[in-house]
Amino acid sequence: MSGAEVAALVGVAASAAGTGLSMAGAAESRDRMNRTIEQQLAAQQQFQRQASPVFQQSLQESTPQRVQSQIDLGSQSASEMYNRLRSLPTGTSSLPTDDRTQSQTQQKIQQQQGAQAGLQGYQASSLAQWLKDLETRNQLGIISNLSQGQANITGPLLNYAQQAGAGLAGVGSLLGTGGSLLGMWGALKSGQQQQGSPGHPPTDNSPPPYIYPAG
Amino acid sequence: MSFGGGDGSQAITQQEAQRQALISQGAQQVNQAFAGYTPQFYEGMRQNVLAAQLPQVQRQYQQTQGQLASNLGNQGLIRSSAARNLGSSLQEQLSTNLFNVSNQATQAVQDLQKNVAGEKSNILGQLEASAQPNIAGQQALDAASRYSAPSIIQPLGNLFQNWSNIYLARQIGQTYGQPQQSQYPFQYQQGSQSSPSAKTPISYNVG
Repeated sequence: MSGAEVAALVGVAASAAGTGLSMAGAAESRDRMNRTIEQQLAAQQQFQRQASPVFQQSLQESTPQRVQSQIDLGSQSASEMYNRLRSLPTGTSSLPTDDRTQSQTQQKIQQQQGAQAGLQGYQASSLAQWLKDLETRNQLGIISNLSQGQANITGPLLNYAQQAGAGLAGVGSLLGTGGSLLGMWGALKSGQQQQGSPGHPPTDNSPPPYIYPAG
Repeated sequence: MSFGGGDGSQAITQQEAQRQALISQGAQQVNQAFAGYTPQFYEGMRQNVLAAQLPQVQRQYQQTQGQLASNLGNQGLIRSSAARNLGSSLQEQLSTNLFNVSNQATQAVQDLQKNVAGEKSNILGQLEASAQPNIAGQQALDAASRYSAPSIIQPLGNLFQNWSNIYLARQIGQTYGQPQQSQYPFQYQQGSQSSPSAKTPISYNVG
């Protein structure tokens, strides 16, 4: 086997190896991109797992029953406060009174107290709901910010993943090109050797093709 | 030979992880700075506001009551049904004032709660944008100490002023012999007695 034939064979082999490397590079890129997407999805699911209970809890705190409970609690608290204030000593009264007048007065005060306490209940519930919503927004805001930040790096990570196989593919391409050139050179050299060395006439006696037979 | 941008992806992932850790750390610092604002704190504050204002209500009530008793005594009406009605009215006014003072104390505390929660939310928002826990923590500490500092409690105005004015109108009316319009003359404001059609219902709103 001549050197040219060896070169042609090596060229073919190198070309095949180059193709293989290019395919391996593409596979590497694909795998890394898939892994990147899986990791990013897993991270987003983690954020979702954190956010869901926060939202659910907020939702449960806003049910009509819960709101009614807050109204009752606020009303009760205000009523207790009013009772405490009314029971404070105000000094000896020098004004006359009788049971009937006193009863009527207390009835009016009690009625006013009930209305005031009811109003305070609504205000307490409104405040509790506002505070709850704000706290929920704070928590969800932080989780959303972290989630958004994680999502923002997906593009660059995919770019890096895509480039991961680029080196291998480049080497494969280079090897393939080199192998192809070597194969072509080997094939050319081998063909020339079969036709004879330059400067020597062909061994057979047939006329060169450019010599036309006479007549 | 390096095959790809593994270093770059690691760097960007670490950078994001660090940012997230800083935000989480900052959020903890902010929560810690505002941890003292418990329901007990707000209730204590409401009690303090009331403790500062209630003696003023009591003092004004006693003064008004004494003035009323003195005027009624001068007119020889201390044992009259008018005196009983006026005493009852004054007692109602006292309750109204107590309710109002209590509501105002509650409102002041609720406003503080809203301000504190709003400030905390603002600082958390800034933390999310800056990812600088030290600055956020310092801001939170400043805000928390600013709100927890004792505020000046304004002295109450004359809570029984309206009631006294109405009663005074009745006194003037009686002094000048104008006819009494109602069993409860204090229900009409000064100047309304010359025209019965111009009666104005009393307003006990002393706030």
